[in-house]
Amino acid sequence: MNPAESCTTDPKENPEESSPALSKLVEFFRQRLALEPFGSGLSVSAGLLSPGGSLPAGAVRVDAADGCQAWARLSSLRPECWPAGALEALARSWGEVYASNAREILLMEELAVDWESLQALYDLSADLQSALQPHEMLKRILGRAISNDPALRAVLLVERAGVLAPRAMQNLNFCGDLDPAGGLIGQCVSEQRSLVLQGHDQIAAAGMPSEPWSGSTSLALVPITTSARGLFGLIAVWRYDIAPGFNSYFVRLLEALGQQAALIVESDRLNGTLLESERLRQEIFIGSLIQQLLLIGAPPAASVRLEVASLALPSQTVDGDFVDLFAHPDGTLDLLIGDVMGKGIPAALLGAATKTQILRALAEKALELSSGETPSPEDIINCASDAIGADLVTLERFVTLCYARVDPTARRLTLVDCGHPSTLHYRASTGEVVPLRGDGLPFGVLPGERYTQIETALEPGDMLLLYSDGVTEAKNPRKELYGEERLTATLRVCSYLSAAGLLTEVRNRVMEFCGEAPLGDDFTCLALKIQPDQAEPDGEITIFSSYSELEKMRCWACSTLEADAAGELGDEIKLALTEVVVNVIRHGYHEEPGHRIRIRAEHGARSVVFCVEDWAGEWAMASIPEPSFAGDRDGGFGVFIVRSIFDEVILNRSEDGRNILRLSKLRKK
Amino acid sequence: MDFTTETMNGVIVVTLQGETLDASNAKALKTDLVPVLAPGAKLVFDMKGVRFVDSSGLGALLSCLRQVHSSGGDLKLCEMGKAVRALFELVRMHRIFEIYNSRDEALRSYGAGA
Repeated sequence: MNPAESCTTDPKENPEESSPALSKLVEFFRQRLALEPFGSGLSVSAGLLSPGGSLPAGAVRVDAADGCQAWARLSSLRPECWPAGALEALARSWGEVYASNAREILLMEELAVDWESLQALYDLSADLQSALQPHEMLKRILGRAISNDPALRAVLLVERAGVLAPRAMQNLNFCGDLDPAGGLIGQCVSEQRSLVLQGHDQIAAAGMPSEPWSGSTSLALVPITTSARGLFGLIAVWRYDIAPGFNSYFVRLLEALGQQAALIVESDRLNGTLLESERLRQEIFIGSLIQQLLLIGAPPAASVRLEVASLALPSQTVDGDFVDLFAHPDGTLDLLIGDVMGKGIPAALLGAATKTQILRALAEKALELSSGETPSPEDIINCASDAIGADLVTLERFVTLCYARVDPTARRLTLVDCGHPSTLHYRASTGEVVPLRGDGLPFGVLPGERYTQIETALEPGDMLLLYSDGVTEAKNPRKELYGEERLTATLRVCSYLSAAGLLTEVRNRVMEFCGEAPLGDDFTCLALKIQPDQAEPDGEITIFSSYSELEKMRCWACSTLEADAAGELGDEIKLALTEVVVNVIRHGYHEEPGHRIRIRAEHGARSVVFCVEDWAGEWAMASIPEPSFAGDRDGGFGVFIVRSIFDEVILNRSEDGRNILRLSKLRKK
Repeated sequence: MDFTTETMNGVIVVTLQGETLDASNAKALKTDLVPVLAPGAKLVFDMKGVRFVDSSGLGALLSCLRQVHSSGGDLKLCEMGKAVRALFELVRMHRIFEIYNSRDEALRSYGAGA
């Protein structure tokens, strides 16, 4: 959506007798609205002000060109989002820029300076209305000051916290702040007038060696003052070669340029202030609304075999992260995560637009197939890319995204990667985390880009973690990134958790890592877990190396014993198995979560046997000290309990690196 | 593991809430009980609801006992289930802790019966 579309002038408030100056004023305001990210939803109305006439409510007075007095007013569709006076302040600042442009043009016409200088100011007035960054505009102003003469040096110094700091320069390179009290600067500032010096000796006598123009042969120093701030800064132009000195026309040009520079900096500062307070608040409000409604949908009811969770933490500024989930009739589930480069409402709107296009592509492709088949991820993405890619190229925006389809029946993952950070795949069978990454470019980089999908197998217990770069690029106060490596490690050790539990853990760990540093970017994650097979053999259970798994293990032990008509052994066996597993977690895995422990029950005629396997390094129960029965030590009972309850305890180390503890209990007669 | 405390005639009765006291919650319970174990405190732990204790849970209780003893107080247990009692007997801790069948008996042993 083009924000300019929402800017209208109210015909009722623009009477027939409107003048060319008023049209220019309205046009100028419209251009500003089109440029500003917060222009969306704002409209401008303006009119001529008759002598002695009063301002309409909420309007500000503007000196229009041709000596006209005009009023202008900004109105918002959501006035409650703007604090009292904010819209007036904005309109006033734009009115001042507009009036100042008009004044500069008038001034130059009156001065009848040479055509080139006039051209310079016209160009700069045009620049002021363009979307150039302030520092770029200041550099252009200085470029105009020296007319691109390589022999001239120029610097624009701006007052900041009691010193003069260089904001732009031409044909020179220096850094460091200058003292506004000493030397030629001090003279220029205290007398509040322009200085023109000619000749090496004169400059050397009045100046100080620390000043950047020390050693020059001609120098012009022009102070810049504004009504709002007093001293704003100064422009200095000088040269080292022998040439005629700077004339008064040149000084007038510098003064006019200085005013332009002051306007740019002041307008930037004012916009910055608004940005800090109001735009920010409003953007977060609107942006989070967009994200809630359009970008971050609620997960559909998870299927029996799939568990999905999403997490979205908006940062201080809104950017266009989006996620979505589409459940298909054939039982497959599509996961979508994307990130629009850039921030603010435009990014959020583009995120919504991209999501809509993907949904539309999905519907279109499904209709084409018309056989109830689900279109392939690459077809969907190519169709969506065709629809939106060219627009994104024109807008110079791009969107990274990952579209993944999970088929729980075929146990397959199909994924199209459009320049998005790697999807992390935890493989339960090996305990490894594999980053999945395609070679597709982001949407909006290359029109006509063809995307292809990659496939991989999924197993019960596997997990997928999709995330935006706000997660891996979260910084701690030392500016270190959280990074894919830490995220991978988190997934590996938290793979025993549910999808929602994993995301909570990811958030906690990243927050802990960042400490006091605020999130610079939206933090968006999507996690999916393929539920471990419920049809695990009755006589076997695999748990993870976490104490919270103990209760599950005990329930399993009880049910397997009851099925074996050995329920009376339940209490003792539960206790002994708990002690074994706690020892494996504590001494084998050193309390590191995410490792596996497998327990198998064998029901013999004379005895019940439990085999506890772990993949930890070799550890010996014998190394655990004998308990004290005097109550003077807390621990050490575990092994004693195991040996007391089981009739036979044998620990073996398998060739493939497993510890296998075989525990036998004779049945009671 | 949550617990509630009430004071009866100068004896602090701690009722453990939850069926399980094992490696998953023993450490947290030990920490949570620190403010209850004031120097010289007379304590009764009511274990009525507790159905499973492992050696880690036992360790937490032992740690409490030592702390209370060192400051001149005492800690007694009551209302212990069969499985828990079996563990205490297995590792002979029934000789270290004073264990009573009911809360009243435990209170009476302090001379604070109802």
